[in-house]
Amino acid sequence: MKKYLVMAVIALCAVACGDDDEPTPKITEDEKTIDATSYSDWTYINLETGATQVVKDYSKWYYAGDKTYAEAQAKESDITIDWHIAIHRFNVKTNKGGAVETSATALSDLTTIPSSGYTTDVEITTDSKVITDLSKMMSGNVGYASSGTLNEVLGNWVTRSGSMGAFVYTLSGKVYVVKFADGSYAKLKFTDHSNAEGTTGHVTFAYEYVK
Amino acid sequence: MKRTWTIIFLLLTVTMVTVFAENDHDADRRTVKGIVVDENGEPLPGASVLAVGTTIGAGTNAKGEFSIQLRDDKEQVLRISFTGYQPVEMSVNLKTKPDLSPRIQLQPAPNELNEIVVTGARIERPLKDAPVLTRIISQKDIQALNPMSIETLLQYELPGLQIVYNSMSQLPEIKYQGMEGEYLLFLIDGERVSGEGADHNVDFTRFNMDDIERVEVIRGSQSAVYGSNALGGVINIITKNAARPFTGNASIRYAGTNGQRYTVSAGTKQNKFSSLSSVTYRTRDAYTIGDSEGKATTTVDPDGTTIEEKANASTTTVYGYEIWDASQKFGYAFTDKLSADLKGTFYHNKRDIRGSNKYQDFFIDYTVSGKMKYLIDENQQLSVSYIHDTYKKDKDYFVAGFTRTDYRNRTQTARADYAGTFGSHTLSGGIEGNFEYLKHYMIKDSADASVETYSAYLQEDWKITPRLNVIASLRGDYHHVYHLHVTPKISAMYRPWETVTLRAGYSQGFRSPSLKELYQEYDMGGLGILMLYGNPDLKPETSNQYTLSAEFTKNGLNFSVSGYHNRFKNKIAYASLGDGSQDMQYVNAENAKTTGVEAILQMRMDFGLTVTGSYAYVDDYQEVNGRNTSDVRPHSITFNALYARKFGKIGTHFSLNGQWTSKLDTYSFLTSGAYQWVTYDARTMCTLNVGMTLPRGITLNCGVDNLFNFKDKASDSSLQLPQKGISLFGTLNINLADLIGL
Repeated sequence: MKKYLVMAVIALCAVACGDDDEPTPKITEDEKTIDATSYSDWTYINLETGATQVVKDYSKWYYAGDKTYAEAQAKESDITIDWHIAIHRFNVKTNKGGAVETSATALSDLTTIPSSGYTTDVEITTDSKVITDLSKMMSGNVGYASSGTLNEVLGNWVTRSGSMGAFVYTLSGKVYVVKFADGSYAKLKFTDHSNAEGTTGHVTFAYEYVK
Repeated sequence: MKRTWTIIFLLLTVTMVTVFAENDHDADRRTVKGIVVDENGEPLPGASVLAVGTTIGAGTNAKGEFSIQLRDDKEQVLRISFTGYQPVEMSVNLKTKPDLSPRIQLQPAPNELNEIVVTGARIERPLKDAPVLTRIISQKDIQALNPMSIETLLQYELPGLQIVYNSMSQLPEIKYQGMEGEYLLFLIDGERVSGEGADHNVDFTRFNMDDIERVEVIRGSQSAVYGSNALGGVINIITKNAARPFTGNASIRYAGTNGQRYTVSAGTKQNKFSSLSSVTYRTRDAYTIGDSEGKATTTVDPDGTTIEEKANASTTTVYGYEIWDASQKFGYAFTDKLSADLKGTFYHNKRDIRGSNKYQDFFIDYTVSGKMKYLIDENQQLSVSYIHDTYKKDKDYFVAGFTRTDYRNRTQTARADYAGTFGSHTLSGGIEGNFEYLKHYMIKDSADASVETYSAYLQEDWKITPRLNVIASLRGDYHHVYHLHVTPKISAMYRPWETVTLRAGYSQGFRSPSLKELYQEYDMGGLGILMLYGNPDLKPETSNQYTLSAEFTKNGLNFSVSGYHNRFKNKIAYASLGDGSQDMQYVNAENAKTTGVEAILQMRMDFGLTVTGSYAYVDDYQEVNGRNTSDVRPHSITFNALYARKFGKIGTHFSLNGQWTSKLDTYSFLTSGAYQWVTYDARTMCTLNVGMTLPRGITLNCGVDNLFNFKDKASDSSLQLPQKGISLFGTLNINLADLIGL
């Protein structure tokens, strides 16, 4: 009996040690502040290298006032970096990933990565109200993105209340986990929505990217 | 020009002091001691004893005693008065009766008609002789309500006054019988105040309730007397003065998170010298009003289909404050004829940090003012005055670690006034220079601008018969941008019987374009898509007002009804630049009118009950295609019932104040041809106060604010500042002079 047990342990060990030649998980820790003040732009971010690229929203913008579509000002292929997430104002999208909100409020508090509950991005429709052009706002003709994707779970990192000119922003303060198609994942925590002078659209987040 | 003006002003002052100071004969004075008592023979502390036609006056102490130095070479008249009592005049001749020691008994006044008011013509006169109908909010009225803020006081006292909430600046705005805040001139002791709270409104929190003695309110255009901004009315806040040889007060108003106020003051009134110092700390926490369900909007399409839409439930947060106020007043009579007043005030408001903002607002103001008065003879007087008022708004960026002044407004006014009575004519006039400086974040590159206005005014008050009185005034203002503007005013008062007073008036009003309206260049939202421009070609806004009123008074009964019609021309509003951009510019674009009726009834009954009720109706002609687009509630009522009674040495009072405003349906039209409306419910608020006056100057009060727990809807905050539900408060006032018997 004892013999079998020893053999089983050896066998288990053999299985476990089979990964020996694979590298240990590579962890990238950083904090980034993105200038997302422009309504027309998305900032694409590679969490591994830290590279960012700003590309205009490449959908046809829908003008709600006169119900017309404008020609796209960019195309998806303009994005030249490998990206994980992208930020537009307070909107967030992932590169074919899924996100979950955890109860943790600090990156280090989150020791177990949730196994389920990940929400993938949804398609943008003109009803999504992703504003891309405010220049004709006064004539009631705001431009919206008509396609693309958006991660609604990550979008909950900040909520806005109150009325125009006196909005009050409330941060969720929660740690989000995003899993990507290649099996890598990131823990994200958004820590600020404005710069030191209070200009909104400057988004700061801390993250741990694990590959 | 400004320098010349200052030099002239200084010269005048120096001349007055040097020339007229020589006329004094201090050696020929004798001290007269006396006592003032009330109807029950109890001493009346704080009564005023004034030698008529001189600058010499005294106040009574805790025992009702006064001591006044009078000239012994001629007969003089002493005027003894106390708020709420009928004044008494007595002749004193120290030559024939040198050892006089008078005991004066005052009787309670059945009504307010003998109270002295100053606002109507800038000359002190009894209310019954005021040429325009003047509403007094007396110290008694203030104590009966015991409010935390001036907004609360005005809402409970003046029907048709709405406090609106400006959601951009998160500060209150005022709307009075259809007129916005910029058409109401707020004065402190007759002087305009600088600074802006919400858009074109004064910062109401700078008025400290503990400093206010009374408020005088006049509806209608008063620009012929006061110049710019007095189109819709004048609200003159009269501050307290030392009235006794020694005055000292400590008071507390406590309502927990709903407000706390702590004041200490001390002062003295001697024959020649008076002083009053006070310091107040007040604070109130932020509160949030939330709706259980959203506002319903009903839309009717051109084909008749009706859709009712419910907005999301909303919340409104009213942010709190922490304020320090200080004020110092000095008065000195150089001679019988010449006196000077000096005053300094300081206000420091630390506002709550809004939400996740990275800055904190600080509103700071200080004023310095001086006035010299020379009594040429019994019927003529001359005064010169100067006031400097600097108001600023600082933002403390506590994350970035710096403080920036976004707004600074400095006004300086120098004035010389003359008034003289010759038989049935009282002639008054004056010259005034007003210098205003503004640094504003809405001016290009947060830069600054300034403007000078020079004015001259003349007023003739003619008592044609003892029953008929006509006042005509004319004022010219020279503004360095739009140049000359002339404002006339005429009013008549006729008293066919002793009990009935009829008044009629025509007056004009104007408002100079503000420095912001002249020179603004502001990128709204900071996105470069909407510029808001000022316009240096603006003309003043003007108004024409016609009023008629009738007042009936018999003993404790006072009833007045008044009607008015206002026409506003050249109202300044934003209009598109018309160059294809979104940009807007201020232009003289709009005309408007209002018609209203106001009735006030007051009954004072012998057994200690006083009932006051007022009603106002206003139509601001905002009807479009037969539907009302106005945001003014047409009907409103305010009322007060005050019962006061003395049990031995303990005085008690019960007071119920209430305000009601009518329901309002506001319509708007869509480009599609549809129209929609929103309903704002009627609003009723009441406050109950119970107070006790104990011996030795201790007064205790407790009250219930919003007695019937009326809850404003957050979604109605564009129409009024949302009020919290029912709450309790208590006040304790210790009159230190009475406590130690001084």
